[in-house]
Amino acid sequence: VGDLLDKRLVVVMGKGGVGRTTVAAALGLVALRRGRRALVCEVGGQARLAEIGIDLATISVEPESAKLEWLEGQLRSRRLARLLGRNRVFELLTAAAPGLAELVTIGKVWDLAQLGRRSRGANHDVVILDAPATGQGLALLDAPATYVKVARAGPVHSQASRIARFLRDRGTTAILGVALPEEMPVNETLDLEGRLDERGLHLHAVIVNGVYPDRFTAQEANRITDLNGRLPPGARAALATALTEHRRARTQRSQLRRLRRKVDTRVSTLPFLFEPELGPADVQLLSRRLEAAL
Amino acid sequence: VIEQLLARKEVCICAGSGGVGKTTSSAAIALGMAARGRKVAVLTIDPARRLADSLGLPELGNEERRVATDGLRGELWAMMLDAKRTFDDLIEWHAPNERTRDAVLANPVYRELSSAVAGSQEYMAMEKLLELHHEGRYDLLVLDTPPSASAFDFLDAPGKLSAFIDSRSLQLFTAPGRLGLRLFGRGGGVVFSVMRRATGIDLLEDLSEFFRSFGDMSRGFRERAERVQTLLASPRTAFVLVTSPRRRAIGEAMAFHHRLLDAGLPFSGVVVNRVHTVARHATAEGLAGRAGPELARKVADSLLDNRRLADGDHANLEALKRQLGRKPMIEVPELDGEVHDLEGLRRVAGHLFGAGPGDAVVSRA
Repeated sequence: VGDLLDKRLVVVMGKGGVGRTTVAAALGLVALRRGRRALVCEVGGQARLAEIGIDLATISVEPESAKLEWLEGQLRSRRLARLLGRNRVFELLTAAAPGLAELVTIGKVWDLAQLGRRSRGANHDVVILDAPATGQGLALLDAPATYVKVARAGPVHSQASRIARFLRDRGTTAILGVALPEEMPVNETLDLEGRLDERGLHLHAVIVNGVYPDRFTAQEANRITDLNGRLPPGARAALATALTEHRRARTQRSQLRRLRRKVDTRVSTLPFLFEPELGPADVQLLSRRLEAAL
Repeated sequence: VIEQLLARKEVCICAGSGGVGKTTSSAAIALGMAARGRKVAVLTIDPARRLADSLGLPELGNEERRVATDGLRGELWAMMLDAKRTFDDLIEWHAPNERTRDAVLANPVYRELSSAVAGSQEYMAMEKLLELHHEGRYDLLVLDTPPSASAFDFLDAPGKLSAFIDSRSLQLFTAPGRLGLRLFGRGGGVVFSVMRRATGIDLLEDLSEFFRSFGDMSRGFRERAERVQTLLASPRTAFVLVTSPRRRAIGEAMAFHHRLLDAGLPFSGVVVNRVHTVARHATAEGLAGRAGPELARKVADSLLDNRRLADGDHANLEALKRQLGRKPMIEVPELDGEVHDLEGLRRVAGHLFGAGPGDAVVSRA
């Protein structure tokens, strides 16, 4: 984990619903315990970190304000930036210029991750980006390379090149995949690895969330099956619940094995917590498990 | 229940936030309706080929493919939308001549715009839907909306994209110099020079080139956008919101529900996937005698843990039901095995459609 937290930027990626935000928050807590100041960063006006309710330095990067800040930086004049930013034609163009929202967003994240950066806010050692779900997350990572091509010269070109280099540099950026031990998320993680590879990006490690405990041994499961017919209905229902859990755990193990076999990077796991909604104490618990696992 | 919802519908749009099982629900709805005698096509934009996987197809392309399966009274077709291909086809269709077509297809701005940029997928999904609906080869089209953090993206993104290719922004580039400058309003002529400083000239040239070539086509695009709106608002369309039993996903589904109502779009119902359930009468008491203390304790722990999940889900769903009023909510329990093949989809369809005349067909292996 020390290795991971030595980077300037950790990008947490994965399919929708696999728990990226939880992992990003847990990783932020690990950093804190290690005496490193972490800034956990959300994009696109999400405020999920606040919902978790843990005490972490967080920032929500929103494309509109990122665009204004970027303009300020380019023009070196806040007044001019405001003027241009409010211009309707400019607004129309930039609102729809392909990938521009992504570029200014990742540009802001990149800026936050610089040591001598311009952005306002508390100082920190590492930025943890809670990226959007796979497709949009990749669009975010793609934007700089796209603009290197589209703007063949000029300040956008040179800044986009710097960001693209920063993202490809394994010394500064680590991409962390998050998955669940299920068929589709495993497929998508394998797919993500391939797609990162095509872009010259590297998947640092995969965190598999929500792994069921090995509560019952195979013998115990067999005994449950044997007992089933000879008990009152209430006890049979309890055994049915136990068996269902056991089967789910077993399916998960085989998916986890498949992921480990096929992915070309380290795979760590976090336990499934039997809680309908995760609270601050749960994320604390997961962060300790993450620290041990990484 | 789903069957009644879709009885007179020609289009079913499955919307919801990421990771709630939209693709599975879409495929199961399509399968169930096909089992009940309808000719159904399910459309997905999933780059991860989830739909192809679960339908047992090696791959899906921009053309519909028939899913070979027993026990269907109707037909099931599936396709995976290729946003770039669809966009290219659209340009071919609208371009007044070959020169314009080639100029647009070769333009760097167009190339980026058409491939994998947020918004183009949603826009092209609507386009394909419109095209297939117009051709009228299917009784029902089921659309699995593109994966995104927020269900709103599906409604918002096409508007943003059409604003981009709308003629108002085109005028700026197609109008001769001085008129163009006047259009800038406050900020005046500095805007161009400032943008040049901020972005680099090449990008602007590509953009203006793009708009110039696109100019002739913008009307066709605007008309299609209006027809898409008409189709979405039609009483023959059903929006089905898909959610997990998690509080945040439900919150988003409800926000989307209000958004649909405000926009006058036909909201039909909610599907809640992967609901944890534990039989109410389940008890681990008195097990120790038969199972031994160790196993009895484990079973008791498991029951406690799973009941906590089930109770949480139940409370969330009760709250959802109250908010929905008379609109239907369909629960699909967390299934033992995973849903990644036709057999799994049949089981999901069994829950979605409940017991009914088509049920025997659906549950047949």
